[in-house]
Parts: sequence; structure tokens; C-alpha cells
Amino acid sequence: MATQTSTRGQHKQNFLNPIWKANPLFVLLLGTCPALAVTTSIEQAIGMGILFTIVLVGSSVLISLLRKIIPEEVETPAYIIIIATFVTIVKMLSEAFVPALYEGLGVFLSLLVVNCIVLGRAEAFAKSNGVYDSFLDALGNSLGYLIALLIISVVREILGTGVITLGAVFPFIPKTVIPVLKYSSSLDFSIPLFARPAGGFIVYGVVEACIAAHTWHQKDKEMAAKRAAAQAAAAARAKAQVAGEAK
Amino acid sequence: MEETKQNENKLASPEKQSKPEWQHWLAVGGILCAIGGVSALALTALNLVTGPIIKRNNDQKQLAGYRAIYANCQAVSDPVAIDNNANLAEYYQAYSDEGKTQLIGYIYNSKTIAVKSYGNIHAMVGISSEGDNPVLGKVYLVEDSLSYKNTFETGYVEPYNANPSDETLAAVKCGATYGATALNEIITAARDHFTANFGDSFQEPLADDAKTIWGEDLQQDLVKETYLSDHTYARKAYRFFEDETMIGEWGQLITTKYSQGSDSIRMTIGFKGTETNVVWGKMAITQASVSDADALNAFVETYNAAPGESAFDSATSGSLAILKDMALDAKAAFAAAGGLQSTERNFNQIEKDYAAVSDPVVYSDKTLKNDSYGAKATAYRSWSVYSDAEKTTEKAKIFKMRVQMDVDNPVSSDPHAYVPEHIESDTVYLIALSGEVTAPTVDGMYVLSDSSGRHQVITDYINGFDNSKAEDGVVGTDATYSLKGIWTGLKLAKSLYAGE
Repeated sequence: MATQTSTRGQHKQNFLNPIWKANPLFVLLLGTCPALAVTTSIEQAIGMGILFTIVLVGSSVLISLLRKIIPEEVETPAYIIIIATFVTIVKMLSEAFVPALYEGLGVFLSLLVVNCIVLGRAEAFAKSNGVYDSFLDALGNSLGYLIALLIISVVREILGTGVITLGAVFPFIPKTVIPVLKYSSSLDFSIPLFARPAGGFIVYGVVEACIAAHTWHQKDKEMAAKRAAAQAAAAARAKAQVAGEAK
Repeated sequence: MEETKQNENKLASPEKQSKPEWQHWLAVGGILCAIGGVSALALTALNLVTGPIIKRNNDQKQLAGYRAIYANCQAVSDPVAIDNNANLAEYYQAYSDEGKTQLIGYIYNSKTIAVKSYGNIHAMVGISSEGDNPVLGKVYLVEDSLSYKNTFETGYVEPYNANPSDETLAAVKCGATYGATALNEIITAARDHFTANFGDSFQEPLADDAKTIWGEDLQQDLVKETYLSDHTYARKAYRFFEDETMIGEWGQLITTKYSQGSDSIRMTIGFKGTETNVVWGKMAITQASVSDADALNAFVETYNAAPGESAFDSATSGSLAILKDMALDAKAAFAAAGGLQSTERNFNQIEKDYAAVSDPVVYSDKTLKNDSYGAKATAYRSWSVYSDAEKTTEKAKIFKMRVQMDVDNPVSSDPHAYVPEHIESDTVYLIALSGEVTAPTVDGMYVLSDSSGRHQVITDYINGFDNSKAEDGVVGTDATYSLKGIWTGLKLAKSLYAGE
């Protein structure tokens, strides 16, 4: 029973850790280049996140399945073939069914082949873990990356263009423009800098600063709790000593 | 976390290593090949599904480009490569039906042209035909990565697409001159290719015809060629200009063509005057393949002795009647284009109620420089205008001036600017002076053309000029440098008026 609970807990950790505590973009600082390039619009960021999920989950599961077959001398070439196959599959599918997304992502879609998150999870996790664990780990990392892209893109699209545009990338969404900071050409509070690469760096930096502040705050709280516990223990010990001496 | 670090079954494990080495490497290679093979099979299968969809998407996207040129385009032919052309890569035939039976025109696909260091343009150009004549069509920009993209598109591409014509094609001074010139060259190359391959590639011996028609009167050989449309015989107009400003026409030649079976006549005729008062010039037969060629040549000789519409009264039959129709069609084309666009037609903008104009005094090398503002003023010609038809009372003198500027403004208003503003402008204008030669009155000034970046400010200043204005007043007008140049031209005109 205890083993089962522990295994379930590990599954949960495999899935949840990469979403927040070990987020590949915000905490491990991996995959930053495409993250800055494709986050000019929310739809594009979601599209990249979905395609990234297909590549990472598919390649991790397959590598985990084949981990006992692939000779260690050719592990890396084999992983790259598998990852490249999934990248090519998502490229073909997006070019056929979501051409606007394919054009928007451009070269960054092809560059998923050498994305350090994808190759990193294959080398660090999938090759030495079971299929289910690898699936959860890949899904967690993908979701973590998607959420990170989404956060940056929401800030950049609103600040950079003043509106949220839907339906420009995904053909099945009706084309809608939601004004947030721009209501007309004369009533426009948008800051075009945020739609440019420099804006991406600024948003990424601010989010990193917020995470760092939160992390340090948590550490301070933990330290304070530890100190309080140590003081309480010392007080208890002193009390016990006094009581003993009194006896 | 349960990390199942099991590599016991891998080929490199001890028990596997006991196998002969070649077997081991064969297995390694085999597995890698198998993974590659399965990947290839999967991608091939997927390509079979997505390939046709991708092709259809691309076709629709290309068709959208073609429809920006020909709205009713339904299909195009396979591309035909164009060799040895600096601007063009290939052309397509555009059809209004999917069966490709109704040809509506040609679409020329340009090469990607680098515009200095400003970026690239890649365009598709429509050229259709009216008889043998090429007709300019719209332009679709496949790529425009110019750093001044907006100025280029709003200042040149949009006006051209709104009215594809020689006039809008020539208006390259739009604030994005280099990009506009590059696109102008693409469009011109497309029209030349069309003319050479599908239209009438015949080139009139213009110099000979001009000499025959104008004789000793021919002053300049500065010519612009314009294709004519909506005419039965008239093909092209050659506009002769009075000086290098290419403003102020001196005369026009209209070329005409008749072709019926084996009979053909090519005739060029000269015109001056306005659209309501056409002045007939001589004509030249460039080519005649008719049975009564002798009669035709004899008629032309008679006509050239006394050119005029009434000379055609006797041309009632055979090729003479055809020649009459050709000449009348040429006259109609001349009038439809507004007649001769001479400089003199603008005099009433600054001198009202004059009765007569003298012949022009043509200046050579009359210039004045203003080094402080990088301006060079040039006087081209002047006319006297009279208040009586007998030309006894001179009302004023009108000068045709040009001011060219090429200077770096140090942007003194912005101390942080590290790149000076480059001012490049070219303004041609008229100045009317009257009164005392030592202290003349400026009756008015009028802009004939202006290619400066402050076009509106300069036009308003010149057209609204009066004697109350002082040179110091140009400071702070947002066009200080250019208006200093205009004043330099005024000083030169005044010195010429004083007889210096």
C-alpha cells in the first residue's frame, strides 16, 4: 500500500513539477529563443505550445518504448531521428491544416529538432524511465512551456498592439478583435515596442524577476519557520532541563 | 522518483559484448537503419495525405495574388522562364476560366530585387493587350522588406494600382524614390518583354521621323514615350520637351498603324497647340505596303507643303482615305491627352489678362549657388508677356527656374540626432517679374513640379507668394532649406531681369 502511494506521488510529481517548480522556460531557462520569437500573439503562442506538446510527448513516449532496443553508441542519433520525425509530422500537419500558424512560426518550428527541452527530456528522463512516467513528464513539461508562452504572449499582445486578435491563426475560430488598450487610431494606448524582440526580452525579464522575488520570499518564510521551530525546540529542551533539575 | 535505470538488455551489456564485434556493429547499424526506415515510411504516408492539401493551399494563395492583378482570374498557365533579364524571372498567361480558353492577360513574376541597402522587393505585374499595344495592369507585391515600406506603398504602389498608366508609372519621386524606381524598372521590363514577344515590336525610326516632321525647328531630342489606348490606329505618343527639366512640351509626335491582310501603313504625324485648337504638323510614312503607294507618297508630299485638316478633303478613296482616318485618330488621341502641355499654358496662373507672349529667350549655364543651404538655381528660359496683341506694352517677364538641393541638414534642433537629415529636392517653378529693373515686383510664382519631402509646404509658399514676404520668414516653416533654395532662384531671376 505504501509503495502504491509512493508511486502515485511520484507520478504526480513527474507531471506537476515541470509546470511550476521546474518550469522549463521560467525556472530552467530552456527554449527561450522560440519563446521570445513566437509570443507576439496569443494564438501563435498557443499554436506553438500545442505543436511542442505533440513533439515532446510523442518523442518521449517512443524513446521510452525503444529505450531497451536503442544501442547506447547511437542513442543521440536515434533520438534526433525520432524527434525530427515528429517535428516533420507537425510541420506537415500545420502547413496543411493551419497554414497561418505554419507561416507565423517559420523557422522556429523546424528548430524544435534541436530544442534543448525536447532533446534534454529524452536524454535525462525518457531513456531511463517507463512509458507512463515519460508520458507524464513530457506532458508536464509541455504544459509548463505552453503556460509560460501564454503568459508572455498575453502581456506582449495587449501592450504591443492594444488588442487581442482571435481567428487570425486558427481558421476554426471566428475572427474577432477585442480592444483592450486601443479603441481607435486616436485612442491608442498601446506600446509597439512590446511587439518587437526588445519587448519580448523586457516581459521575460519582468516575469523572471517576479518568480525570483516569489522564490526568495518562500525561502525567507521557510527559513523563518525553521528558525522558529529551532527556537521552540531549544525552549522545550530548556524547559525540560529546568524541570529535571527541579526534580 | 522511481528511476528504472535498466540498461541490462542493451547491446553494450557484458553478455552481448561476448558476440563477435562485427555482429554487434551490424546490429547497431541495423537498428539505426530500422528507426530511420520506419520514420521515412511514416513521413511518406503522411505526405501522401497532406501533400495535395498543401499544394491546394499554395495554389489558392498564388491565385489570390493573381486576382489582385486580374480580379476575374480563374487559372494561369505553367510559368515560362525568362532568360537574360535583370528584372524578370518568368511569366504566366492568366485566364478567366478554369479551362484556360479565355486569355485575359499576362502576369510577369519579377526576380527579388535588392534596393540598395533598404531591403528587397519582389513583384508580380499584369500586362494585357489592346490590339498590338501593351496595357499596363496592376502590381502585386509578393515581398516588400524596404525600410520605408509604408511611404513606398502609399506614395507609389497604391496610386499606380488605382490608375495603372504611364503618368503614375513615371511618378517615382514619392519620398521613396529608389524603391519606386526599382518597381518602375520591373514594370517597364515586363511591358518591353510583352511588346517584343506578343505585341507589335516595330520601332519607328524616331530620329528620322522627327527630322522629317519638325525639320530645322527641332530644338531638343528630350522625349518621353507613351502607349496610347482606346484608339483604332494611334499607337504611341512621343512628347518632346523644351529642356532637361522634362516639363514643358515643345511638340508631340503620334505614331499610327493600319494593317489589313497584306496591306499595311505606318505613319507618324506631329501636333502642337491645345486640345481645342490643334495645330497640325507634317507627317512621315515609315512603312507602306499598299497597291497605290505612289499616290500615297504624292499625297503626303502635298500635305507636308501645307499641313492642316483641310488638306485631307481630297483623300476620299483607297489608301488616302485610310491615311485620313489614321490622321484624324491621331488628332483625337492628341486632343484626348489634353493637347500640348507647354510651359506657356501655366502663365495665366501668375499673370492674368495678358494678350500675347514673346518667343522664349533660352539661357544656357545661368546658375546661382547657395552653398550655405546646398542649393543650385538654374534659369532655363524667359518670356515677355504683353498687355496688347501687338506686343508693344510689356506687362511682365516670366522666368522658368529650377532649384535642386542635395545637402545634409545637421538637425540643429535635435542635439541627440547623430544622423543628419538628408535633403534632396528638385523644384521647377515660374516667376513673374514686372516694374523697375533694379527693384522689380514679384507678380507671382507658380510650381510646375516639386519632388521635395515638404511638398505641400513648398507648394503653398510658392503659389501663395507675394511681395510682403521676406527671406528671413522661411525660418521655422518646416521647409527652411528648400525655401532658401527657392529664394536663391528668385535672386537669379531678378539679376536676369536687371540684365546682369
